[in-house]
Amino acid sequence: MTRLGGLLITLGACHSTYVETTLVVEPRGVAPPVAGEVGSPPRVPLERLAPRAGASIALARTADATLAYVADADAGVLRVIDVDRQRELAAIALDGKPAELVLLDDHRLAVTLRDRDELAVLAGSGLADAPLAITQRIALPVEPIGLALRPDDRALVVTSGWGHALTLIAVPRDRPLATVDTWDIAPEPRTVVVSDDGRFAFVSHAIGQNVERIDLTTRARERIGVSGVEEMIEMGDPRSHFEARKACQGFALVKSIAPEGRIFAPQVLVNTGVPGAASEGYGADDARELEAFDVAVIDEDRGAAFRESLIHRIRQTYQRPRCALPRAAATSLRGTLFVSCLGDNTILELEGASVAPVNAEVARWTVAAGPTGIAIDDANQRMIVWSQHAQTLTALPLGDRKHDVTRTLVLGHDALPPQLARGRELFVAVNDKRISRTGQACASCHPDGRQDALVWSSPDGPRQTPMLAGRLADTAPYGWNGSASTVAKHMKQTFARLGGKGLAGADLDALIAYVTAMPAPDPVGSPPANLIADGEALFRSDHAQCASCHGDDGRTPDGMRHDVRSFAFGDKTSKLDTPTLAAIAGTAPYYHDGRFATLRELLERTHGKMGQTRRLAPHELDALEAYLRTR
Amino acid sequence: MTGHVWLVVLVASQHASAAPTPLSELPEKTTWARPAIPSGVVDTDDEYLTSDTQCLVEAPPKYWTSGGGDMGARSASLDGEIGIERLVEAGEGAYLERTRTRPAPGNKLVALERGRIALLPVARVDGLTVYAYRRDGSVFVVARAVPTESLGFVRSDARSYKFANVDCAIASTQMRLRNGSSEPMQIEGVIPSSRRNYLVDASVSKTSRDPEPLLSVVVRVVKPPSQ
Repeated sequence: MTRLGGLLITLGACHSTYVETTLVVEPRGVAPPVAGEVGSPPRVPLERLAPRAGASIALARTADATLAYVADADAGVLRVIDVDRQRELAAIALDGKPAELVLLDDHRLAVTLRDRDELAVLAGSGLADAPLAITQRIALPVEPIGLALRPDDRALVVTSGWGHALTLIAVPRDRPLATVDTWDIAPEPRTVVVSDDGRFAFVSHAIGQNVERIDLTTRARERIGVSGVEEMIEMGDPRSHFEARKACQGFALVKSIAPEGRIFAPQVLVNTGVPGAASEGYGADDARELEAFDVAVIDEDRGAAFRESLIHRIRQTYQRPRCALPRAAATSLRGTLFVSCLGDNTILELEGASVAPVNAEVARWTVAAGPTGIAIDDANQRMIVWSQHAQTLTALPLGDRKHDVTRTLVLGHDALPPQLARGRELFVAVNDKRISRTGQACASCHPDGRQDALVWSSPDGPRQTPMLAGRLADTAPYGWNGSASTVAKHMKQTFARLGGKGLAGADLDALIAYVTAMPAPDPVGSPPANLIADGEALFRSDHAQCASCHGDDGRTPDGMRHDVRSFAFGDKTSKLDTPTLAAIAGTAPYYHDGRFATLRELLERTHGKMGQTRRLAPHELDALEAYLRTR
Repeated sequence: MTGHVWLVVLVASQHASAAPTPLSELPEKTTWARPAIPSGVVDTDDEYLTSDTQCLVEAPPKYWTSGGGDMGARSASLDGEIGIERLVEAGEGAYLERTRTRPAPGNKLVALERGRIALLPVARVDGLTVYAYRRDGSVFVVARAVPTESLGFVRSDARSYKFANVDCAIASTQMRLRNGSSEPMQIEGVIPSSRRNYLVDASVSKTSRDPEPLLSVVVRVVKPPSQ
């Protein structure tokens, strides 16, 4: 038993498999109050309007104002905006890109800094008499994104996207926060919410077709499947048939307010086609809708999704709501669910009590480009939307006030260079016929510039989506076949497969600039230096023969096509381009057809085809794998 | 802070929604009255017609309204019953009335029984009210609609009548419950007063925490479906 930050913490014996954690809610008086310790500004009365789940926007009310706290990821600042008086009050540099923020019950703000691997804690309100200031920074696993408070407000859970981790942080009132525990969870977590009883954390994943439920008391993890099916009806056959649809883009996750007990997981169900059957483009040629917007409804107490919420019914195709690139969500006291659609620049309102909310559209609004945050002000029947790309805050009336005016605050900050801003706009564009005829954006398969972990049918055979971020420089040629000597030529091929007419000129340059500028995430974990050194030596050795094709550092492939005896049913060629190994730890599944689920499986099963791994002892494989994970 | 502007935009969105309705609030009891030929029913040489506020239903004991949008041609035995239904939106509350009839020689209908079931309003849009009731493990959602087809059921041979494009001023759908939940269903129709198209999305669901199943109904004005 240890004391940490005024909290009583009990740890079980076997750390690797089971740790019992008991948080005593009240601080024990070990740490002094934050104000006394760090000299934070005086506190002003602040009523928290935001839920206990993080978002890029949170609302609070003072005696005479409604404040919006906005995580401006492009500018790296926290903005404070008086929604009623339509004024930006403050902008606090965070020295990092904020992803989400949440208001603590003692009026502090907790903000995840995605590129700094930190949680920043700020005190103050942002009003003139109480400017915001960072009072604490807490190191977190790579790429912290989502965060949520436990219902008792005394603990915070934070997801780390690339670090595939969930961190539990104690939140003693008015005292410094303290990390309690960290769980290794499934890849690419994004949003987290905590069950009403405080026991479970539910985590959405951008890839992997699951929502994860983590028992915060027993550490038990379970996956809640959210992949779906599409109802098919064949001529002359009155029975329905169902075809599998894979889930992706699981970014948002939100709890219902009324009725309680539901968790909504907006996502996209895709028809990737039959991997061995060549298709004209990517995915099934005969799919009615290659990407179908969906909202999985999870029974919070049961930990399972409503089956009906995962079925794409054929008769529901009439005016079925469309939402391209669903990214953020919020719920209202009226029982409705709001989803921001980054590709459409729309906000969709859906009926939350429906067995399949995706079939129950209530309203839709067009907003400024890049809606990444939604906050609901139930008392004033309005919705505040943060549009990151357009640097715009929009206040939209709801319900009985739906005919009131919509107010839009254009902040006018140029947070990104114009070319990158344009490139990003094109990257998420779903209605640009130059890119795609079927309404797919680059970001559809490359969420956050990465990969969807899916294998698609293509004209060349089955193809696993490669990650883009940080992997384009010095890795020509491009494409699994290595058929494009430049990124521009590869894009041209991709647009053609998507039925697009193709980009040219400044727009093509902008898109290339954007995708090549996307940084690779930091390596995950810190294995022993000697293990990495051993692995690096093995990688470069004649013993394993990895570097001869992948380059000395694994990031500079030889630019050649090789037959590594990976021919799969449907492949048009047996020679494939040597891929870069940059960020390989997070790009499962592996091989062009995704046949290997893990890096270890790939190492162990490719002996003689790709290197000589059977010669390696288990400890050498450990070292090689550890080194690869640093790439 | 400077360098920002506020824009004011008028938004005129047409939508409607209603709070979810616990199933126990839905009426399900039928009150029966003495037989009588319902008004509006006439007989002709070879077809029975109804007024535009009434609908013909085959196998009436199974269900009341016939469901919107899927009234393909079908046959009913002369020995079977025919139901005639109408939606009444009276001042004291709406109800669905059904008269069970049996075809008789001489192109006559013999009324067997007339019953009413109260309707609970569950959503509104543009002057249209959507109602619901429950019966025999199913939930029904009902709304007024502009009849879009000619009406009647036509005798096709000596022993059967062929239903053809039943003209029905009621749009409805049935949701069968399984473990407290249903498939999501839709109703398409045209609002009689405004002639605008509407779409109803309805379903029943129940989580572990819900004490009873909840009916969710959303109705909105939509563009006409493209042909």
